[in-house]
Amino acid sequence: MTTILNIQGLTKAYSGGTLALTGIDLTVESGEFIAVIGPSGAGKSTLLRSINRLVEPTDGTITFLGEVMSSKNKGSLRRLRSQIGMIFQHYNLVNRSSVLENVLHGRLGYMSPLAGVFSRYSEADKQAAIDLLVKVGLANEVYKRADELSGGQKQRVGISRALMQQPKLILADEPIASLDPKSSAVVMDTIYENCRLQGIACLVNLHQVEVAKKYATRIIGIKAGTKVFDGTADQLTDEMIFNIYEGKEHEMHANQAGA
Amino acid sequence: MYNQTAVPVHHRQKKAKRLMSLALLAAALAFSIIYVKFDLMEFLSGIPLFIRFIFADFLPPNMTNMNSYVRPVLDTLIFAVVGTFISSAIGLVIAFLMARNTSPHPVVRLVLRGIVSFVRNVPFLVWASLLVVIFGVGAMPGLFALLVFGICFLARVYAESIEELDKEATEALTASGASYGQLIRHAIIPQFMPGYYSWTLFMFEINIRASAILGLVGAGGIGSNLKQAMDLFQYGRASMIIVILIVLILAVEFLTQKIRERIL
Repeated sequence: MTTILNIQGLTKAYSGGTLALTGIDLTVESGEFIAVIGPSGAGKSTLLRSINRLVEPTDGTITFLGEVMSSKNKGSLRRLRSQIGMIFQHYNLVNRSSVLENVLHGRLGYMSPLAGVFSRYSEADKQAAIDLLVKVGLANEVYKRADELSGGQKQRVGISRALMQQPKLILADEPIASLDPKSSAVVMDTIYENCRLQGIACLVNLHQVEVAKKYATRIIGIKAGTKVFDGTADQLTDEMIFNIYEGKEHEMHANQAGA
Repeated sequence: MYNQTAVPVHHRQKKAKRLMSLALLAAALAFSIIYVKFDLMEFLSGIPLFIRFIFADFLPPNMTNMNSYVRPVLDTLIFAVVGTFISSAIGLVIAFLMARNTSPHPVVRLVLRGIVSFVRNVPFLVWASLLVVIFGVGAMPGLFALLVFGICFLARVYAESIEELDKEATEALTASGASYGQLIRHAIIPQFMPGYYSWTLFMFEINIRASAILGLVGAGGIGSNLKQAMDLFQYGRASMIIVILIVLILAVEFLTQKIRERIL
């Protein structure tokens, strides 16, 4: 096993004084499927966004594939980001563009800035994007506009866009929090199978403990910006779950349809 | 604070405040009327004169020599088209540089915002009058005034539309390693298109209306003919020009409405 990601002492204080993360240490090995659980406001989202520098951490180092992530060097940040796929709660598609274009956006990080601006995607990329869409069951939606799709379909486009990057790591921020139970199952299966098959390490934020237990090879529990649990699903006792969700118990079984 | 008397006391205060405001307003109105020596009788007795003027002198519109109107109408349309195209192109560049989410640097944003709001706060007619002084009476100062005003108006409204776009798509593309240019092209522009079309068509309508006013300060367009006709007491011609203007504006509004329905 090789180390994909190493986080040391990650701290984030938002302007205004909110301390979102207080010294998180975390190592992700290749092929791991890690669920990050915790109540809302615990800092799960900030943790994920600090990894690819969508949020600028206050302190700590993040090493991805042996290179330190830093916002100083725009070129190297772009190169590292292109190898990290991201999946969002609200899908974050470009609604007025086609499904195919949205998936192809996953290649932008690998293209020269100018080629990207003029949408000069290679034929191989276009074919790969269509293949991905067929694989996730969206063969008939390829040329539709993204805003014509249902939530579950949009999320599968989001997954395809992330996979299109041929990433080493996928960050999924509450991927099923806005979906009904049936779509949630499809989306989680799609993420899980693709990551396993292609050996992509995955960090997925969830607030449903059951889902985390079902898929994760390892579970991280976050409470008030601190890591309070790190172990397998079997090691996650009910006691520990209550500790993690202390004061926000109603959230741990939050049904998948809610959010 | 929240004892039983608190509510009525609060209520009484509010009432007193409202009465005070009304009294002040009434005083201001009374003072203004006295100050400008407003005479209601003069106004009322003027109404028959006004009606006589409209029906005896102004109407009917002078339909003879219709050819003489073609040129000014064409001028007006062409100025509006050229003005809209150029101000849209330049306004777009400025908008991207000054919108919070696309500006390359906060300083660029601040400087541009300052310039744009200064230019916009000088009324359009003042610009036209100044430009007439600089470039002389004619069509050019009119076009320049349309451009100065149009560029700044569009830059501002475009920038506001860009700032209102949802940040989600931009966030996703940033996360996948897209560069600044790629972000603008693939995340911002597709979402901005409806706003862009809408405001640009609106600008075209404004430009048509503006050309009627521009003539009054000698800056070309169909307004020049209107002013000329009025100055020569050719009221029949003047009313014909007004009729043409109304038809022109309605036609343009109809056209832009159709285009909107088509593309949005």
